[in-house]
Amino acid sequence: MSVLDVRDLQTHFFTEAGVVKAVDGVSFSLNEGEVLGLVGESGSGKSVTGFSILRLVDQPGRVVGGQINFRGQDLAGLSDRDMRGLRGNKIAMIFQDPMMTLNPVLRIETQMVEAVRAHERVSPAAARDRAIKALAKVGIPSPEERLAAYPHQFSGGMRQRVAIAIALLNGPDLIVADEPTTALDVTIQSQILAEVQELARETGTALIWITHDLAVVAGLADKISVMYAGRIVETGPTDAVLAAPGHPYTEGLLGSIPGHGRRGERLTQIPGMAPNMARLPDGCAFAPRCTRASDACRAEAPAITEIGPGRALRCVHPSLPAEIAQ
Amino acid sequence: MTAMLELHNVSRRFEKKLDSVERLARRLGADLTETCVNAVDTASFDIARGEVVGLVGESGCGKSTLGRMVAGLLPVSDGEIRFEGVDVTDASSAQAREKRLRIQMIFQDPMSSLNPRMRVAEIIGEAAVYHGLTTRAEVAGYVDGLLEKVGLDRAFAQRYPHQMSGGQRQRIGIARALAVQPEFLICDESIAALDVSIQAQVINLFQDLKHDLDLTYLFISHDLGVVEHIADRVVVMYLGRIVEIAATDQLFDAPRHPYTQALLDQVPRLGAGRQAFRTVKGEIPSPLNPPPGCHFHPRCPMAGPRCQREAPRTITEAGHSVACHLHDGGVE
Amino acid sequence: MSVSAPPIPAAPVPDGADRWRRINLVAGLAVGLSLTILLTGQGFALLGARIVLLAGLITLAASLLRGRAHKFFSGPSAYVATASLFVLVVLAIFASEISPQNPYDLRQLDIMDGRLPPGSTTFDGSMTYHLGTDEQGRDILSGILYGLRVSLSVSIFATLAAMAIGVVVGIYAAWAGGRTDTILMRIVDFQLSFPSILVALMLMAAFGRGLDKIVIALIIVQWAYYARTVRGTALSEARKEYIDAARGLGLPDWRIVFGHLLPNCIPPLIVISTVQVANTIVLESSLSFLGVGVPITQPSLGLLISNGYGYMLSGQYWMSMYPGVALLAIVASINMVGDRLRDTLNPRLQK
Repeated sequence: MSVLDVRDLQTHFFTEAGVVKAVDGVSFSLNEGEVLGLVGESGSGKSVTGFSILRLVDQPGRVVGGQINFRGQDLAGLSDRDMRGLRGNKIAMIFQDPMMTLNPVLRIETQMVEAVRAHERVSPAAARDRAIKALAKVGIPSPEERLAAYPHQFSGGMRQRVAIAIALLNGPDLIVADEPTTALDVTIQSQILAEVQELARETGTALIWITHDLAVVAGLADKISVMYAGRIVETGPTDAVLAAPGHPYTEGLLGSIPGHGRRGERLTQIPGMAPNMARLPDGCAFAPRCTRASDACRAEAPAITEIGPGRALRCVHPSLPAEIAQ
Repeated sequence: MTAMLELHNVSRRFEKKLDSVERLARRLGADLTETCVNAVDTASFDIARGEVVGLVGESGCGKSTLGRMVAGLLPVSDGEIRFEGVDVTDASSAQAREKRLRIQMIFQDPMSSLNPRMRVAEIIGEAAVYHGLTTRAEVAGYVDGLLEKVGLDRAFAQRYPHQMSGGQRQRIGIARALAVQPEFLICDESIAALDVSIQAQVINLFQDLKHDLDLTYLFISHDLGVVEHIADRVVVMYLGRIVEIAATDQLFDAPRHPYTQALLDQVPRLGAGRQAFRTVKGEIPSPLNPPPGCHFHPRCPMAGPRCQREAPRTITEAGHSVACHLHDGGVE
Repeated sequence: MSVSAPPIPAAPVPDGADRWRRINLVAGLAVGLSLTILLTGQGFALLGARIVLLAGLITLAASLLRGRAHKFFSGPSAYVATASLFVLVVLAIFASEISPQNPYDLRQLDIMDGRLPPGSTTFDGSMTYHLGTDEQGRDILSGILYGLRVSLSVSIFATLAAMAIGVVVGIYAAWAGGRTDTILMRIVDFQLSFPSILVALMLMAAFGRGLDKIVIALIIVQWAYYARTVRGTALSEARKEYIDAARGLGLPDWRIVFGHLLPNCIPPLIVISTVQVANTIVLESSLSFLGVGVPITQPSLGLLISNGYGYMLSGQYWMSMYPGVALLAIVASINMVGDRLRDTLNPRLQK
């Protein structure tokens, strides 16, 4: 059952330096219980995509086009009031810095109870019960006592867990997670990833995991979409894409990652620098850095084409033949 | 052959004594104690010339503190640091200061590691001129040579830091360190703040410089993948103590300390496919209140009664050191 | 070459920041020097010093706004404020040339012309009292111009001097740390816990009257505020890695403090000191109003206001009101310019 169907989403930032097309025609869909890994480096537009889905993009940015179909309803056309009814309720977001969710001067209990009662008419006692259950679910020991604490009394990993618990409070159908474990230690990160994986399986919540860390995505996501300069350049089942990448950028990214048995060898360097988003070239945005670029690429930006079931590519010089088996 | 860098039981304590008002409050019943944090607790290891030693651990393990002590930016509470045979624990003698200059640090944050009000040429050239490695007349050429070495066009010399990207700023930081002709570089999470593709560029640069300039590295990082790629030997720290030291292959193929095993188990790996994330239970304890005995025992799946009583000794066997009772007579 | 990839090219970027830095240094020195000369030695007679002062102020303002002018002039209020400030400053500097009369030269006064309403003329019709006269026959307009001059120069000088002292103390406290820091900051706290006007009153009562004495009092009242602000900035800057890098490179302490730390602590002070000039003008006027500020032989807006105060109820409003309006104009325009400056220079509001 489709939870989210994004079609040709466009979010532009109207700055003094010009129009920055942070998200330029992004499309993907997500079913119940699926995990999508949205991967890219800084400036790729992955975070802005996440914010756009929740309509949290601030001035000078604006969603200028496309559809965001959530369970059949186009979020782009909703009123602010209706959108507020969905946020924190059926669609939740987890940020990289848990302090973006948590108010430092309020107790956890206050914040969680408020989050519940904003969307449902329940008694404070019932809301508190839900909060305790949510904290227990994310692995916080003695949740009843911890409710009375302030955010600064938790460690970084704990705070992120509380943020996740708040996201889960109202049983959302979709969670958008923007680099939630990037700032955490490896052992804590793996705990949280394990918990999130289990929760997604248990509750059937669809999950968009935005990150630059391909290794995390490899372990967690069913599907992966790679973004570059505001567009999705490759998408497909995680194992397939990582085993045999089609787009030269994905290839380059994979080659840039050290480890896994290539000790001492020179890492693949993607030549050049990240694109200037205010002045993108006319053709393919990756062409200036691509070893396979031709005049055709530089003249016209390639469209995204399906090359197999669930697999799509935005490139005219892919690394694979046009037809591939899954 | 004497090692290039030797650390003997180096410790760093942060003590917060109570001032007179707090002492008074304590007498009146307030719950105040003097706090003492052992950021680094009797760390000992050697680094040979030309080696790349990786220093890994999670937050609170003390790796950055250790790095800063070696660089001379933090005073040492206990123990001794020797560089090329000379005691450089404090910069009291001219000889120690001269040796200290040969150790340079590459910092983590490309934003704040460069003086925002100085041009690149000044940032790189200032110390070189001050120490007499070049003259004011020739510094422009000197700077150009360094820019070339780190792979930047010489036009960058007239730029300000805010006009450059993170990766470019990091290269300027490397050029600045190279300007005083060091022999030993400490990289303190130098690539953590960069994008993946830029990280690859900088890692390649580090390796090129090592070959061209005959450098020795202490590479501090929380990213095990990078350390596996670049290091010859690895030192693992947990809550201020060194728990394991081994050659990279040995460490990653056959780790001996339970913490190292857990750490390696939990690093998400690309080739592993979809995994059930295996975890080690518990949080990293606060350095203010570390567990008694072996710091890792509350989270260790193989802990025994001895682990709570006694801090483990370091046992070295064929170049592989471990601080764990399992390798020192058992946990009973 | 050790890297196989070609060197990363740098797109050309035009800027003359070095040249501007030198210009700023010269302009700043010029302002300081000329103010010192005007306030101490010759009184305000030296035209050359005044022109240097004006040139210096304009240069500093221009360099502050370079590249940001369009952002600064974002709306009508910015134009109005800047224009009025500029006009008032020029009027103040060239007061002795512009004003119809020198109200503090007793030979030019005629007590028979006292308390004349605005628009009246002298007995022989040679001069119009555009804003009326006070009870001594002084032309209010001239009094305002001369008073502006005193207010502005005293305040700018006191602000700059207080800033210089405060910066030195603040940076030293931050760098030295420990007991030195504690002692210095307790002195600052002590100083700041008294209301400034109270301290100024006490100092003037102790020193007696005089232009130099009021300048000293104003400096004493203000330096602590800068010291505390700079110490905060210095503490957070000193923690940054570029300071660590400088230490690691073996540079000596003094070089790090003056070459690296100090230049990075100055920017927040630019806006603060601009607004402080306005506060100092108000403080000086208040003291003069109360009778303990500028001596009555020297012009001051506060004195003018207090002179005419008793006549307000009898309908001879012009003696207090116009100087009051002038005071309002100068303080408001400085505050508005300072406000615009803060928004313009604030890096977070950029882009």
